[in-house]
Amino acid sequence: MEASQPFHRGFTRHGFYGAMSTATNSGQRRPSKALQRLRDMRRTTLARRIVQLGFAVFILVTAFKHQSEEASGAASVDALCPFGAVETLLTWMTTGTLITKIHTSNLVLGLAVLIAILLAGNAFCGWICPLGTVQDWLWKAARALHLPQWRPAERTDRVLRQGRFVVLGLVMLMSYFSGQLWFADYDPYVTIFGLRWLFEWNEVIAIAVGITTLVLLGSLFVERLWCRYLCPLGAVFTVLGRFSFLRIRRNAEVCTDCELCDKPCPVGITVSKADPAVHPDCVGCLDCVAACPVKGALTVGPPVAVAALLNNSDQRTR
Amino acid sequence: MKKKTRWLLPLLWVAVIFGTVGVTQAMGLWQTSGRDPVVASQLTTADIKGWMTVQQVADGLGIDTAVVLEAVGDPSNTVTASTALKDIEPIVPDFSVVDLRTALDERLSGTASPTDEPT
Repeated sequence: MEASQPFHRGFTRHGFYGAMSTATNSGQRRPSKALQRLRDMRRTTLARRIVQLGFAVFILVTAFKHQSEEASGAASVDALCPFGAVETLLTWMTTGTLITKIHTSNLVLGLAVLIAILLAGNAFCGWICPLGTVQDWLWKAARALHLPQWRPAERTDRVLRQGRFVVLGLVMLMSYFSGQLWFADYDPYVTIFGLRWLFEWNEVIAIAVGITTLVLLGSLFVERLWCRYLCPLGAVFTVLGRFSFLRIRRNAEVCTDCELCDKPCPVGITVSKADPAVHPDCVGCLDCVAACPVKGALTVGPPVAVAALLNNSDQRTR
Repeated sequence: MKKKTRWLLPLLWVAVIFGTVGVTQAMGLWQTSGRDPVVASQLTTADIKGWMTVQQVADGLGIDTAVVLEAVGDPSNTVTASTALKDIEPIVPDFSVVDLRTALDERLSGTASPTDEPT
């Protein structure tokens, strides 16, 4: 390599990057493809952080108003969670009523989430969920502190992921038989963002804070621990995500199997093995798409047959 | 398909969520609270909610607060007429709004428990 071309070798969370710039014939430096990709990844992450922060701040402000000003009319965090629709589902289907603390807002959000996931796959976890936001920031802190990471073996990981379905089943049954929002006493989202601990303290809240602390501590050593192994809403998304129209898909003909897409995945999906759609555990963060160095290898699109049909009709009209 | 199509995922999500909420708000279907005003003697036990106080429950059902307090079953007498039902759970173990509805149903329909029958 010529001395005039600076060369940086490094390996970040987003993968290997080579020359930062290349000299053009006029002597000006233009960003290399690697640098362009790095910028693309940062742009994607920044956009996601902004959206995540927006939703988290909105929820926090609403919860603070709900707790501090009874007459404010501000919604509770329970009323703003789409999982409430799942929790009340059995009661609603069998009796036509809702369990305590659940309102029509939950049903509306549940419907919105259902439409969105069937249309566009799961971006809720990666872009909207406030608990996901907290876990992302904790992971960022963990990496800055160089804390050890625990990556379970594939078989162990597969078994642990079933924990979400166990929690889902338990929550649905307990909500049905008790007629109450049973999970609210254990849900880290409600504990953190409901802010009850800020205004009162009792045994119930202490237990909830204890559970939440354990989950957050675990998130320092396993990226998105709650999402991977315990989130009941994630379990619902895993089932529904299989039927999404738009999904992240891998074009095996173009893919070079560099596996750069595997590194940034926050939920440990082997994106490089997607055949062609990524695993339905995907949280839609788009870090893999941004990290992919090959144009067209990883894209967001409809099923292959539909894409082929669209391409054919596109060519005919030209 | 161009790489920029990946933004469809988050954009569609935000659009669907805000769109659905907006439409239901416009239709008057968006409700985040069950706090309707309590009208005296107009409630049924099914209308009892956790945010209501003991006094509101009594007023709504048209009964004395002592009846409601008895149904709550607080041996320490810490619960008062101004205590919200949602705040009773930490005070009275095993208390639930659902059980209160059942207990008040029995009292109002006259099917008292055997221990309440005169000897």
